[in-house]
Amino acid sequence: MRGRTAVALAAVALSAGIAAWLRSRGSGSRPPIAGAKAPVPLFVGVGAQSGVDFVHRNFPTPRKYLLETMGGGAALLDADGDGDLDLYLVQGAPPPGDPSPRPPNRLFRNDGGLRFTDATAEAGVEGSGYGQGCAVGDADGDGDSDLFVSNGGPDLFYRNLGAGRFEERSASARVGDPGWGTSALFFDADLDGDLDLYAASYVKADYASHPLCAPRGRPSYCHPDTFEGAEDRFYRNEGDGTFTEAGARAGIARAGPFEGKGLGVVAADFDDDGIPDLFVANDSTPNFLYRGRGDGTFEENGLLAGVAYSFSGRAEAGMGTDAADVDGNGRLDLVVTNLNYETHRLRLNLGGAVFEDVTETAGLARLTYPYVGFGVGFLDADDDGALDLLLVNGHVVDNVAESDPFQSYRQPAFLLRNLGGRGGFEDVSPRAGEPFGRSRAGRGAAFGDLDDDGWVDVVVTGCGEPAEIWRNGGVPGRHWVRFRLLGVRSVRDGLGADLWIAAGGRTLRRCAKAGYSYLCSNDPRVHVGLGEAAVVERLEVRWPSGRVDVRRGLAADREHVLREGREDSVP
Amino acid sequence: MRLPLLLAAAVAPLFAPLQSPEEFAPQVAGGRARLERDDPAGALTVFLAILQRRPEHVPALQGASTSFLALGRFEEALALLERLARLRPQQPEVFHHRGYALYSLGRMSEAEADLRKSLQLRSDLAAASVVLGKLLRASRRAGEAVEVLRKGREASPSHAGILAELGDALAESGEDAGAEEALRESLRLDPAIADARFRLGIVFQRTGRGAEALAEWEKVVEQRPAHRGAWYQIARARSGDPGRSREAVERFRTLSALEEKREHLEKRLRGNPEGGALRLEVAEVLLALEEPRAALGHLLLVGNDPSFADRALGLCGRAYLETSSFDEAARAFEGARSLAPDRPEHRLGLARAHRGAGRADAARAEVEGVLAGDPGNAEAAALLGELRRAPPAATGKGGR
Repeated sequence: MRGRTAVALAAVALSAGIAAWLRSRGSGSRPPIAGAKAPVPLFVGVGAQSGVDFVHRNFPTPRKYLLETMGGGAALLDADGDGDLDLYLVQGAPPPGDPSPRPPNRLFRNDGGLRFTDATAEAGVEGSGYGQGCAVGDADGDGDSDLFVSNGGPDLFYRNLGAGRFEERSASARVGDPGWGTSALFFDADLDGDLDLYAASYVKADYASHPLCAPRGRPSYCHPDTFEGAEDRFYRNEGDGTFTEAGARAGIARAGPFEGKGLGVVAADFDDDGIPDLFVANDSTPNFLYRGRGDGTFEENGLLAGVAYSFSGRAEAGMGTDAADVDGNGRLDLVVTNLNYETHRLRLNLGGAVFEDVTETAGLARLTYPYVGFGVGFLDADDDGALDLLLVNGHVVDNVAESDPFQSYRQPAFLLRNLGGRGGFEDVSPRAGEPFGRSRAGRGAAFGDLDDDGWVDVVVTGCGEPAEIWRNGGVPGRHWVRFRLLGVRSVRDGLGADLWIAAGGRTLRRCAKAGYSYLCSNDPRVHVGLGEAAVVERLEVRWPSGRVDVRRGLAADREHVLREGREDSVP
Repeated sequence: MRLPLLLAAAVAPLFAPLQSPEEFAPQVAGGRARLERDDPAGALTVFLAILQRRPEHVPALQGASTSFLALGRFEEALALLERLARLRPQQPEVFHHRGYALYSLGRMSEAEADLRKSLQLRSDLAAASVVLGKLLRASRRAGEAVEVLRKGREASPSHAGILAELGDALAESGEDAGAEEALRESLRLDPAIADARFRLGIVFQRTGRGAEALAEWEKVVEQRPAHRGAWYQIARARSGDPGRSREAVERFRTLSALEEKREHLEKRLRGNPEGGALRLEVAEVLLALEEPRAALGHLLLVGNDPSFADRALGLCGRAYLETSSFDEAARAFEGARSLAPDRPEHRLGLARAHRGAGRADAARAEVEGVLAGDPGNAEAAALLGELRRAPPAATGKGGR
């Protein structure tokens, strides 16, 4: 919180400028809502019966290392190539001097029917170090999903050997940066047909030099301002199993006391020039909007684009982020989760990657102001064709209630139903099932159809808490379609492709992306809710290569495989 | 609290020995006059001097607690207000002020109880409605905030602050039409509320009136050149014209850098509360951010280190100039000049203070003194030109 002690007098008129003193609000309970009665999907926590018994361990210490607050990420990936989504969860590690063994990151193989089996050991993806986030993509173009794991310490790269086995290749791939990595994603920045890697970095901190912070006379977690921001990493894929760190050349090497501190990242073509851009949510420093030039270099334009600061010109504590066309006008909008007393921000794209902050008019300000947000995603939870918004919250400071009676460490998640138009949302959490009635130290949220039933499920991770799977029960009578992309000239898994889906009298834009939210990698397949429409009349796929494929008359309620350059379905 | 002797001498008259509370009346009047002149730092020295002799002197407690509040020193204000509440348990202002102090310290439920009690005792206590509105918004009770502010508006229909807060609350709730009406009315009553004007610009922008929004923000920076949010929005609004946008971007970045510096210094200060030199740096940044009262709050805590005493007094003078407290400014600059007679900025500051106080001849004499020693001093030459052209009245701002 910014200590702005503007002091107006006028008989203690106690004027404006005191907003930053608002150390009030935020608790585990939610405000009442005026609910419309549109059908709402019912989410159910599937719990231990799924076989996913992962409990994140953050190894809290009296020293209050900032790393302890971050939580761990999750990846939904087809690790074994059987067509369904497996689940990978990232684990913390004991600090120096703690003799406890490091619990492994874990891979859970999807056995169908939302049952999973631990396949960590046979896959060889236990990890090492204090895990943070993960990114998934077919980095070597051999048809399977490779895995990057960011750490508070050297990062890891696992090459998928096929059939669910991986080989750790961090050193030979040259991506084992020793700094503090957070969210990461694969994307084809230079449009050369292979996946490059963007790895956000948080701050320059380590155990040995970590200060002891005690803002109110008792140890607490340091504010990120205590540390200098660290440079994010941009790894150019050399196409031979190696990467070259090219952040300085790319124009993304920004760091310092008031710069950087990246936590969330999403790649999308915000200015519709066919070249991927990047948005980076930074914690307590201005966010970045990197407009791609198509040659692996970028121009930062966050300030004038209207995404770097709050509308009053203040940098906020960006955590998670996602990009999608939320108002149905064909342009990609942005959401960022922030700290309590800031509000999670929704910005609509006015065209040309210039954004308008609609947080207040969309109803997000009032709802999210008290909460610390992390995981976030646009998803069509009810398959009505409009993208809804799911927000996972949880405070950073475990003993926050001692200093702020309106705050709690564990906080509820929200499901906001898209009302259509200019980003208006309705809080439907109270009707969306028991996961929304519980509070948690929420961190990551990974989105994907785990049981392939046409409804997007959610995996939620915490800080020092169990991972949860929320099964989406859907809304009867709604249709959907899902696309699995196979790039030929473009990257193999089609990441970065834009899909325009005409069905039921409207045209929807959806993007093939896996990296968004907070520390998470998501279902790379493109899920589209169709509402009452039982057929996709026309589908246009704009591949990263520039090729455009058009298909017509695609049946709903099934998955279609789209191979670049073919206009029929690939079995 | 340590009141540095030099600063105290610069900002407050010394008291003669006092015999009874009634004899404090002139001093109380003087302190109140300083408060009314927007000089809480000066007022504080007056009231604290009384309280040293009569710890339960009610007018001094009122004045000192008000001064502490205005200087952002809430814990010290609260201690005095607790004393005052025991002495005046039915005075609505006491609960209002204590509620504000508690609110500022994050003790929200206690603050809410006090603020509600103050309004129960006196429903037209507009400032209490404003703070309670802020508190309720901060407590996720936007509906209640709007209700309180609307009631406050009924009780005090001409209070611009209530209308500004109501407009803000409505805008935050996405109720743009109601927000616009309240903000316009607020600005009609008091066109100087820059934050209300800024917010009105936001409402214009999101209701598709970009040109009107830009006009409002441009007015904001005319009123408050250090309004970072307005420069940010101007930069964005002018982005189609790179030349004009660049200026706004630069101003925004400069102000952002100052804010960052301030945060950095304040953090260091928390670890070193006695750091006089650090306080000077904070005060300097605060002056650049046009927060002279907050600067004075720090300057009054600066020690007597002779290595920076003249700088402290000079900053004090600048802060008083900013609040149009010209006599106090003159005393501070005179103190600074006596310690560092070679530094022209103190003499030029003194000239501006004299000019603001209507002492044009004294102002000219100071400037001419500077030019005698340094004929090439451009700032002095410019000031002399201004003084020759149009000596302002005693109520003038004094110039910068």
